[in-house]
Amino acid sequence: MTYIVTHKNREQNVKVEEFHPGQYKVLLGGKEYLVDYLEPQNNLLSLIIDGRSYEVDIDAADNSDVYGVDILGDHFEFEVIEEKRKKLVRKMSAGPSGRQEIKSPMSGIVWKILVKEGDLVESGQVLIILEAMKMKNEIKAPLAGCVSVLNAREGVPVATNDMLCVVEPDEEQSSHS
Amino acid sequence: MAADSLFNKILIANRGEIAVRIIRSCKELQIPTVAVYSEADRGALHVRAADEAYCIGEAPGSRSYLRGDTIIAIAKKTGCDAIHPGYGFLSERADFAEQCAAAGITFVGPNPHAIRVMCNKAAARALAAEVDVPLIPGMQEYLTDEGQARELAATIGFPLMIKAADGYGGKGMRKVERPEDLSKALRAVTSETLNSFGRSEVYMERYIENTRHIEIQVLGDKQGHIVHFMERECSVQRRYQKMIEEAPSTIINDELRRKMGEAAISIARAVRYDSAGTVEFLVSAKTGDFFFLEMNPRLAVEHPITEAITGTDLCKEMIRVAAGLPLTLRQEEIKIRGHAIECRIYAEDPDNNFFPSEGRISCLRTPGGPGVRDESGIYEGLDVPIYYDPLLAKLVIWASTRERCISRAQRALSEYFIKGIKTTIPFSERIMKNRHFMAGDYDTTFTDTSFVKEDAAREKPHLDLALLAAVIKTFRRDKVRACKNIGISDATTPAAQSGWKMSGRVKR
Repeated sequence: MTYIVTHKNREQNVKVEEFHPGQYKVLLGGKEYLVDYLEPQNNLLSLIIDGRSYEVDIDAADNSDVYGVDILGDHFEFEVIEEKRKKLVRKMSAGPSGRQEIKSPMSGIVWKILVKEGDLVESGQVLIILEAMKMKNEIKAPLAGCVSVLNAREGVPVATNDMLCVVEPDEEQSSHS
Repeated sequence: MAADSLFNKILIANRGEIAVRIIRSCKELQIPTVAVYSEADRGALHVRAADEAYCIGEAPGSRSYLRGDTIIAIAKKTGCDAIHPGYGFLSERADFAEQCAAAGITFVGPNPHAIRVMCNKAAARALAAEVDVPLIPGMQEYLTDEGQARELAATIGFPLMIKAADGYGGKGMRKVERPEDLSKALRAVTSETLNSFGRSEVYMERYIENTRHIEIQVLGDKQGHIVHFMERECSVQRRYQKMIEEAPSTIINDELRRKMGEAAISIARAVRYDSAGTVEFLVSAKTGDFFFLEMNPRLAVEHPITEAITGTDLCKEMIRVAAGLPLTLRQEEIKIRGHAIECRIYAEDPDNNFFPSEGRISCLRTPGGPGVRDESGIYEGLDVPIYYDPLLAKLVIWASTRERCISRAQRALSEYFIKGIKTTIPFSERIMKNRHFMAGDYDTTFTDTSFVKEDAAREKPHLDLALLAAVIKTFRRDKVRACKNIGISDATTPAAQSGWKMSGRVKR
């Protein structure tokens, strides 16, 4: 199987083949790796490559193609999609310049709303401040555009993934990356 | 002394890791324990660790752990003759300490007067000045006009900081290097302050280069004896939140230690301090000058590193002196052995601006081996509550030298796995490997400045490995899904394997 792995906006092709249960041949960046892979505990992996042993902490949400991998203090995020599916996904997705639904990353209380519906905002602008775990957390606009929907209300609690607001890209601004 | 002469029963008015820690000391002293818990903490570890447990209200601290009246009522009902407040919550509430006394219950902490004075920063500083402990020059007076400012500046010395009384987050502050720059800076800060906060109270204090936040652990008894247990270095802070502490400090020599210890004791003595407490100082690594900051009249979060290097149990000592026993240790007997480091583990994502993380701890593996102490209130399956401080656990490492301690901390951190939520374990790992930290060459600005840069620029040798892991994981997932689609439950049989290949062909 061939996968397209995206890391920090760079894509690469990776081929995987299981030649024996638990033993994988992976072709990455022109190099072939023989990996003995075991998952002795959920999402905690034991990899042995060429006799070298590694413990890898991986996070994979059920319906997501994004993986968080922690190894020896470093954190990486990858999107891994099978080659053919990736082509389909590319055709269909609005991409980072599309309509952005901003969901709450955690449970908390909306402490302050700094914008109104209809406001024009810049990428990175703070829209809402959530209070959780006794700290204030800024929710920022992922791109430049207009606040088309504002669901959040000051003083009202929110749960993880509650839709806070929607930012629609500004037609003129999205013409340059 | 017999353990049963201390107390009949102790109520621990706290939660999380510190409640567990206090209960441990009580158990070792054979004192029965009573835990209190909020509705969100019914499953908490401290509830199970105690002999008795009572619900004190709804999740928010104000409706539970801060309800002094409820807590005292439970203490009376259960026959407790002592209450240990831990840190935070009611630990620095003089009125609560007084209510305990009125109810005939011993508050395991200092006398109410000491709490009252030390919780008032102005009063604490005035007291420090009275006993000739150095303060950061200039902290006490507000500026009235430029003339007065110039006079004050001359006594304070340059470089100095002009600060707004209500400033925060770096706003309303200006550093002034030379006397010539004073007027301009004054005008700038005053107008900025007026615009931002609507008030223009500003004050000046000396700017101290390369400050280190160094604190002294003190312990007093009710007979008036006070000793100190050396210093703790707490300069690895992120936005004033302590992340990593170590003891002893790399910049304190015997002479400075003796002076700071004496200063701390004289401050404690001035309020007849009769429990465990921490006297905080800012120290200039350059000049060795130290300045009193404040005193925390309670057990410190980071007390375990002091315990590690002095071989003591400060919690037990607190309970003993609260029971009226005199100190068993004399100052000459308190010595430093080895080195200790504490890594605080917060439920925060260090790769996403330390955003608080919530969720269920799906997997927990704590490190072991020599010199490793894990102080925690978490367990596998715990839903981390969002109502409280995000400190989950403290990893305390001891070794015979600082170098070995760092090496051991690296080793222990690499064994520590908490899954289901994001934690600051990777942050601690990266600090332990940072060359400035390893050289002992850092100050209070370190984490927010040079570390951030060096951390961002660091090499990540395991990128390919991480990628391999993610790809194989996906491959296996896809395989399981494909088998499910064709109705095969066991993906490892040869039939399943060919089915998988078949479905691959079909997709093509």
